[in-house]
Amino acid sequence: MRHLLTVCVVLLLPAALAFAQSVPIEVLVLVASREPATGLDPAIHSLVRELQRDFAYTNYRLVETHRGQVSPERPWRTAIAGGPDLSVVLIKADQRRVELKITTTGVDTRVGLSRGGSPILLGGPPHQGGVLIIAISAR
Amino acid sequence: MAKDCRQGQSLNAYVDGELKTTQAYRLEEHLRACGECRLELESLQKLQGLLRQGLQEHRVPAPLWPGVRARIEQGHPPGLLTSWIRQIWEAGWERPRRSFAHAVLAALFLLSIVYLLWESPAGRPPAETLSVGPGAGEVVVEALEPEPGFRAMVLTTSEQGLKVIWVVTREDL
Repeated sequence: MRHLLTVCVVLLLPAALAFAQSVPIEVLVLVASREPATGLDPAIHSLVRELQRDFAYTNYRLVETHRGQVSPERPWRTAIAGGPDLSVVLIKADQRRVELKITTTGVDTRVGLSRGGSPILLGGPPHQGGVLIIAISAR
Repeated sequence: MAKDCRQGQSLNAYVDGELKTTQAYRLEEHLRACGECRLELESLQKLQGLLRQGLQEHRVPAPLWPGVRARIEQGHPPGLLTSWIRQIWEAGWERPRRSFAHAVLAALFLLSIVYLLWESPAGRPPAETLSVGPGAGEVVVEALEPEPGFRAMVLTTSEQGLKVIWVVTREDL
């Protein structure tokens, strides 16, 4: 029994430690267009209110929500709205902030974010008569 | 043992009293005619006598039995959990270093699990996780490298100061 416990611990510990070093991220994918405004998803209410001050788009739709874990050894990848690929890699992290390397079609960037704070937004790729806006935040 | 005699194979069973009456009778008939098997039988009987003598010498002293029997009848066998805890406890005293290493590994493993459960985003609605506002933390764009054929720029929203990286193709410009 003790040997079984030891084997389980030895096998699972590296994976558990690697997982513990990872940072949860959330990616919201919006499509902004000039179509008439429709009901707004509560998940993006404050974000859209802010964007409406500076952008001329009238309609914002939340089309996808992704959640994942990023770590230095394990990049997080997904396809955004069936189109461009998005890759997020954790450069460094502490209790308050993270630094991420974000790669998507057309751009490669490195950003610093507060955990649980404002997202970084990537926008511009045309999609379904509007443009994609990708909001990436770290927990 | 009488190697060349088939009846010799039954001698052990005969000595142990395991042969049926007809088999024993047949063997005794054979023994009367087979000197080799008679010698083998004698040696087996001597060996059996020695074994019985030895067993009697190492038998548990009679005065102990009533106490042992009473404890068996009155007591209950230890449960699985109790015996497992006892094993760990005894092992801890026997091999303290190894037990300490096991305890450290187990503690690290449990701490990792607790950390993961604590940090798990599952179950939280998106509306509560996306913080937008001046107090929500500064976003810093450390580097920005557009791919060939693309242009990228960083916009800052006027109210809350959100950073927006806007990417367009050169044809769109």
